[in-house]
Amino acid sequence: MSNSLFSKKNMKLIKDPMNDSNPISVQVLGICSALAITIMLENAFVMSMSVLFVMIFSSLFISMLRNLIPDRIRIIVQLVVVASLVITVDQFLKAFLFDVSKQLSVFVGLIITNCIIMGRLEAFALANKPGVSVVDAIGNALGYTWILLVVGFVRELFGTGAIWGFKILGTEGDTEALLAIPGYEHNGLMLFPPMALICVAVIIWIQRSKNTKLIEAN
Amino acid sequence: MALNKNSTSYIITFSVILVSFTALLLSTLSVSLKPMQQENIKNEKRSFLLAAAGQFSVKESKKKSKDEIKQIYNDKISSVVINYKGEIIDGEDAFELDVVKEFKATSKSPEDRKYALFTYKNEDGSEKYIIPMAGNGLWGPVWAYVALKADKNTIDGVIFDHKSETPGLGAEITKAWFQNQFTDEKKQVMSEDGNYQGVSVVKGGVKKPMHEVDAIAGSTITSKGVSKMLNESFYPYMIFWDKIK
Repeated sequence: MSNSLFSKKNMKLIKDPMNDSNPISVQVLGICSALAITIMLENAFVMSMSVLFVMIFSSLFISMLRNLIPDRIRIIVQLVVVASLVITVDQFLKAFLFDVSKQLSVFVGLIITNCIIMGRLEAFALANKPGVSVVDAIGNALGYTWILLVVGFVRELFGTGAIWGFKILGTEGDTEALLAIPGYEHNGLMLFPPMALICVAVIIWIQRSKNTKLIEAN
Repeated sequence: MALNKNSTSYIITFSVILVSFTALLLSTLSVSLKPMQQENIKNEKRSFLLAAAGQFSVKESKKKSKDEIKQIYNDKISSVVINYKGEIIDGEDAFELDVVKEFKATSKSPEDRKYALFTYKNEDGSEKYIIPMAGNGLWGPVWAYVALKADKNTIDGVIFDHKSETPGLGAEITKAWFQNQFTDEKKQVMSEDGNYQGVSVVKGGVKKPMHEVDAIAGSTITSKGVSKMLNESFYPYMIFWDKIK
């Protein structure tokens, strides 16, 4: 294995989760949080960053401990590490970034249940050195991030007419809105979880039509 | 390898070490960060009380330091604790009274609850009254600070907050459009013929503009919880002020 952090192999660990092995659109992991927190772009972003942090450090620790962890209790060990990190994030947010912690409310705790984290620990960090494990964690977290941001963008824009809290679309007479269209109505359906599922499905559809590798034979 | 990683003794030793280590780490973290977290919560309460009274907006309060907010709070606000019959309870600190805890402990029996009342002094010496209240949302508690004008009847400002309502739905109670409904038009606690009325959150159009505001589409349960809270919570204060006889 190459020693360089930016070797071809390592770059592949970052690039693959963006497209070919995207955790959400290809592996269909971490869907639950993608449905729950994509109503607003800001929440999607902060959630993604928290997941990024937890993934990096859990991969690092699990990979460092990989030769010591008994196989029979490895899932529990992973859970302990992930849960501890999530509590750490939560405690720090509450002490230093009180406003952000209020916005995320329950979703910080839900990072524990994000299948991408456990999935990558199980599939990668347990069998690889710390350096590459961290790279793999970053790649997967970013793959998760871009889907969340796209879905969050679409849902916030069409659901509430705003992007990152700034009013963009509105009906006539809406002075706050940048673009006031007479007779325009926000699509309330966008705010409900099923619409997130449809958005993710559309992303998968577009992705598969462009990336023929992903199309299963028959 | 000399160690048998799947032996029972190894597994037990490994788990004990791992768990003790994380437990130690997390408890240290929790204990050392607790003072800062509590200070944040108190600071937020002070800024909400001041914001409800119109000292500054919640957004502006974020730019002020904690000491500054504490200073303004101590200068402007005094408080008492009363019971359901409108009598002052001595020896209670209204600021330390946790409205949400108090609500949860006595949700079935409002007559056992303690009620905090904050008085805000305007520049010209007149007063505003800030009433903290709590209720049930969909996922957790919701609470509010409602400021009344010197007539002890007309709503002057409101700040809503919640623990875990859905962003974009129930969490909209913290947004300006919802809260402005209480101040854009005059809302009153007492009806014109002098009976206790409270304020309600209603679906499908406001019929009594003095006592009703529009609900949030898609979050019926949060709206109902807020409505119940606004309906009931003013009662002991109105007795305290001799508005109800």
